[in-house]
Amino acid sequence: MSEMLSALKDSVDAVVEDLPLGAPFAESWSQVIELGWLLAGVDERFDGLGEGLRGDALIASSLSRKLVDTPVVGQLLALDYESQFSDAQEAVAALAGGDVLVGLPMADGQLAIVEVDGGYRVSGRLSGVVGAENASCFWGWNDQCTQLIALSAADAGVVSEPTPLWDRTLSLSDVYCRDVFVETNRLRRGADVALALARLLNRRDVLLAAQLLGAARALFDMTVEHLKVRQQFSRPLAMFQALKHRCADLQAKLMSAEALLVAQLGDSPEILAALQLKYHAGEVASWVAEEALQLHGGIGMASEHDCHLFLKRIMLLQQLGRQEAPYPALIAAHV
Amino acid sequence: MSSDLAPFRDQIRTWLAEHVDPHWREKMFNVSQEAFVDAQRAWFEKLSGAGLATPHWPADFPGGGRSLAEQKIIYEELARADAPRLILYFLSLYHAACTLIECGSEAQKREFLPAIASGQIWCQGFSEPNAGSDLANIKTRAERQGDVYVINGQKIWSTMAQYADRCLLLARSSRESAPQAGLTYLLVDMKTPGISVRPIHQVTGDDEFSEIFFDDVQVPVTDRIGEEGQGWGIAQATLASERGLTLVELSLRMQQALPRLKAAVLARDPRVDGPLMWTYAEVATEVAAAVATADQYLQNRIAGHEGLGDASVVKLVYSRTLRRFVKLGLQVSGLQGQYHRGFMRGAPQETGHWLQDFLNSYNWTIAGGSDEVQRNIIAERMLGMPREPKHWLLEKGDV
Repeated sequence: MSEMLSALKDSVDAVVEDLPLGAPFAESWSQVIELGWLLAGVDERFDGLGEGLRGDALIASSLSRKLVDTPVVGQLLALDYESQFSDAQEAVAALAGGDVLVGLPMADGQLAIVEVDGGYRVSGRLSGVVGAENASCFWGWNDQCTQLIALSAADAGVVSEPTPLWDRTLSLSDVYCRDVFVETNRLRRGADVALALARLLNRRDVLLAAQLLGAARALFDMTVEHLKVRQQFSRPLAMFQALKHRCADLQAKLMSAEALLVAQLGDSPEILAALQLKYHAGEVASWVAEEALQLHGGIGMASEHDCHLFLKRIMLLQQLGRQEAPYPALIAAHV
Repeated sequence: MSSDLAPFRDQIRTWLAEHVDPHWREKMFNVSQEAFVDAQRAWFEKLSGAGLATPHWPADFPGGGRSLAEQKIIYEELARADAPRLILYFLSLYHAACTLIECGSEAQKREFLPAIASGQIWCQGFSEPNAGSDLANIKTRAERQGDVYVINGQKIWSTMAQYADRCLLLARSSRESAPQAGLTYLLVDMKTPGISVRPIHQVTGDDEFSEIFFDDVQVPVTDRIGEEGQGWGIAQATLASERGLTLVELSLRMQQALPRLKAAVLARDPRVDGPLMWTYAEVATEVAAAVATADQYLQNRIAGHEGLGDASVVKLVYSRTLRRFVKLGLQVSGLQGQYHRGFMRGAPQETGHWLQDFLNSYNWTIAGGSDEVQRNIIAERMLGMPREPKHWLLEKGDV
């Protein structure tokens, strides 16, 4: 890790540490903006820190340790997308400063886009948009991922419906677009858009993996601490070799997933690398979650304990991402 | 299974076909706990009226006298009919009744068994915040003062305690003896002054467990079961009371729920030879083995031989299979499975709302003796492996 990245990590972690678990948007977003975290990955020519995906993953992972209700991943993806185009100065500044907040689907983003006089008619559903109620615009794309469209939250026919989740600490919505008229200049098309969109979807996998592993690491640390403190049979539970070994297995798996994350943090991850990372992080994190509740015992079943909040967030993150087929099937097509 | 029981099975099946409301699940979706309790009471009265609530009691008690083979048929048919389970009465009908039958005085049996048969609700006050898997570490005090014991302390994980009339209480009456020897077993009236119950809000949204607080609660010495200091032995009778039967029923219910899992798998990937169906095939096979394990255990008990640790094998096989079952459901339900559409009461781990079922599966891997406790029993009592040293602080020397 570079010196700058390491310093950034320390300062981000310190701020996140002071946030309450499941901190709502209002409690965290202004800090994310003011402290310039959104610029961590942005290229230096746009006044960013130039840390690329490494910087973005660090922010996503750290905020996830406290299960913060944040649209940060969508915003980071939008920033990187815009940075791919040379005339992006203004767009990047608006995104990094929080003047524009992009609602970006963390699941399906496919829309039917039909050309009409003076623009386009757009219909469909954007699934899994984090923080839609605060978004100023929504991004979606066509089936072939060759067109990207920015819908204003104020456009007639754009309706966001909050999704009731088991994970009560994340505001997720489905955004429905019903025959929305969009002017020509709001649609981007062409070969460079297809490339930038493919890059965006790959990076989305990586950042979802970073969130999964951030939450899993925090939950695992909490579980290890519980086993060291909780006593049964006149000894800390951690003295039972059977439990200790399970923790060692979890640690080894978690470290393997964390290593894979670091390995895939090149600025434009290949699709296979992105798919494998998202899948592996999901499998490992959900295993950590499943075991963590068991290792906490009865108290893990009580809603006043934090354990279930992590479990529910991890189970949710595991299901976000590409929806066209299960990840192993997608990996199989590229491996 | 001997064929002379076939008419008995037919009779039960016919009765259940007439009396089980096929829509009870939908009716328990997004209802208050009070509505659930009312439904449980109504179902208890029906079952009890038909002599199906207490078949495991001896012949001289209400509704009792059924052989183990007959009981097994009853539970098989209850599972087959997808009848509601008597969750509210589980502790009364099994733990309380079996403890009384095995260890109670004649007066206690005469007082409590007819009351239980007509719907008295009991809860269990065993576990404490620092006495879970390590049950002998109970700290709740029972201090003898003349004709009463004065109880002070806290119990936790008491199922349905907020509705209970009586509590099976294990408390410490002596600090001098070995941990197990200082425990006394009391049958506590939950209306006694000084008792307060606080439901524990669970991760599923349910609150079927409670904490019970005892503050100078006076319990008549006549409500002690067994002698002072014999509580540990009697508690073993309580814990063994439903051995086997419940898991036979639950394994069968899991088998009954396989079509629901299969439908969820095929909805995700319709290929019958696709990889998800392969996993389903594995789970279905494991379920068959879990049903067979529970069944064989009960057959052995009917034949009069039960080995040390056998019941733990049944529970561990069930709980691990259940986890795989609900995990596959959760996996194939995708993002939709994360949506919280509501909460179904009274149908733990078989609602088809997969995240609820997944969370509820911990009731079987943690409660009633965790998987870890079952593994210890299997390793130590069945396989004869040595126990972990008891007094590590003394043995360590350098602490």
